[in-house]
Amino acid sequence: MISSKNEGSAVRPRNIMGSPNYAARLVKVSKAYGPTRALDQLNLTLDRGEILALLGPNGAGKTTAVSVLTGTRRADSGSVELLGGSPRNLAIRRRIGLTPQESGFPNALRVGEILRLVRAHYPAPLADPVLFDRFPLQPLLRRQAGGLSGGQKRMLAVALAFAGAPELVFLDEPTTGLDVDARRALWRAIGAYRDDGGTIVLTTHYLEEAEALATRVVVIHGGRAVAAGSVDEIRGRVGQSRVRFDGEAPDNLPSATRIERSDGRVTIYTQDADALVRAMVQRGVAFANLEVQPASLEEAFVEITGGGTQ
Amino acid sequence: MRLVYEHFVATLTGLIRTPAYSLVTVLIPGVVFIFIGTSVADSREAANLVMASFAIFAALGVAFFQFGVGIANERESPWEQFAHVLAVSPGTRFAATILAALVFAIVAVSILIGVALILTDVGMPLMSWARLVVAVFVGAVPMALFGIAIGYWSPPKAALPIANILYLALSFGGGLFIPPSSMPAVLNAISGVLPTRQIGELAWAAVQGRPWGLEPWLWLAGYTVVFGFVAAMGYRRDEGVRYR
Repeated sequence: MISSKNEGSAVRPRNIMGSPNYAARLVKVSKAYGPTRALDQLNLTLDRGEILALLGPNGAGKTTAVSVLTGTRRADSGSVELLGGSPRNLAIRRRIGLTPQESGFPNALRVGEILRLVRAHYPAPLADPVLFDRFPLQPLLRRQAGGLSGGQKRMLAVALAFAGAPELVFLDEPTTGLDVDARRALWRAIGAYRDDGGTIVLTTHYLEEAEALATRVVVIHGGRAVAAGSVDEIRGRVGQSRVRFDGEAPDNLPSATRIERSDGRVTIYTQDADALVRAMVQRGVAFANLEVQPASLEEAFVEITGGGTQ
Repeated sequence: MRLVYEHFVATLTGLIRTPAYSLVTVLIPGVVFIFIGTSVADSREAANLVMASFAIFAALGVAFFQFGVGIANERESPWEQFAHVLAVSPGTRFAATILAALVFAIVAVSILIGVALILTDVGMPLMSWARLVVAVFVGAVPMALFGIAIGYWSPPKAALPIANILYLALSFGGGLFIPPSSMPAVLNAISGVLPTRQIGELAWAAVQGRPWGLEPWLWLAGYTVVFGFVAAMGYRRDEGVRYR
């Protein structure tokens, strides 16, 4: 499945089960849809116990990367390894969970029936008390899926990913369209799974979500991994802080990594906001309504991908 | 086996709760029989023949709509893509679908036979009943494969009308509504090569107590191979589109 000489690294230590200490790995995986290169020699290693957020603009290749990892699409070239085997292997698939991107359930089936069906595919699924403690679905069990609200469907979709108590969970846009309370409830459930030692791959448009959950972020752009690191490291790429004020933007300020101007409001990204403000005061720069904030991941992300479509 | 059962229960439950599907497939043959069948079933012999034809019509409906339209609808459903990642083989899910179709076919055919027994002078030896059931369910195999081929090859929205037209055309052409003997010569010639006609020949021979000829079996075997091949090609093509 996997080339033993990639990255020039030594043979990775293996546990007694004979499976590697990473949960999944893509090596030089390419995938094209006609003329569109969705993945371009993508390398990606998923460590056990981490929550990896895949970020990137629409069409960057995030969903394709997940599809290749879960075996729903075949790679044109490169090697794919999931939990020490092939994603198309049934024994391997019993150990993963995922949530569909669109929450389209069989409309006529009840929530309880869907949970039962999905859990039947796993050797040791979550028991009702644990499942309902994390996902408050109990009042909905007798409701048909077609009659659920968007938020309830999302909750069910995410619960299905965890219901089988898998080792590895793929969450594709898990909280799209949820209100703040529902989103935080889902984040708590995901956190509980992480605390149990579970591994998660998360694709998301919500950078706040990656900031709240991810232990590591990989930014995908044009089918390649263009940046990887902790949320803080990714943010550090563009500057730790964002300084905003009304006025004229001076040139040659120390430690300014990027300057934006719009409607008389200036935004400066910097590694050192204190030094920047001090320099502005010393030079007598006129400013009003000064605001200093930590830069968001979103801004880092726009910087890295050269202004994606977000 | 447990997964076959779970998928079977889920499929059956979903279909039963969709009355637009379940009631129509189960009741239509019986209802049509009341309007068309009873008027021509003026003797025991005629009643037996008409009932046999409508039994094929009933099984054909399940094969066409459950497999054909069902597959076409599922092809684009997000749930189907989700189910594709679950640890279950296509064979297991297919087995569950066949079992669910079998339940519907049995109910549809039973209702039809019940209607015929009440409203007409149907009656024949036990052996004839047994041979009729064999003819209907063996004949349903190539028709289910045909349904699957429709499901995979037609655009999802077009599957229902296509299945409807073929369902009626094959039923009519195969002599299930009017006996081939009263068809114009041209139509009878076309009818002679249709799969429904072959099932009809077997079913009519069964209710009349005549021995089965070899010819209809060969035709049905041929149709099974051809439809099976087209269905498999469609499945491959669909996999190629979705899971390339």
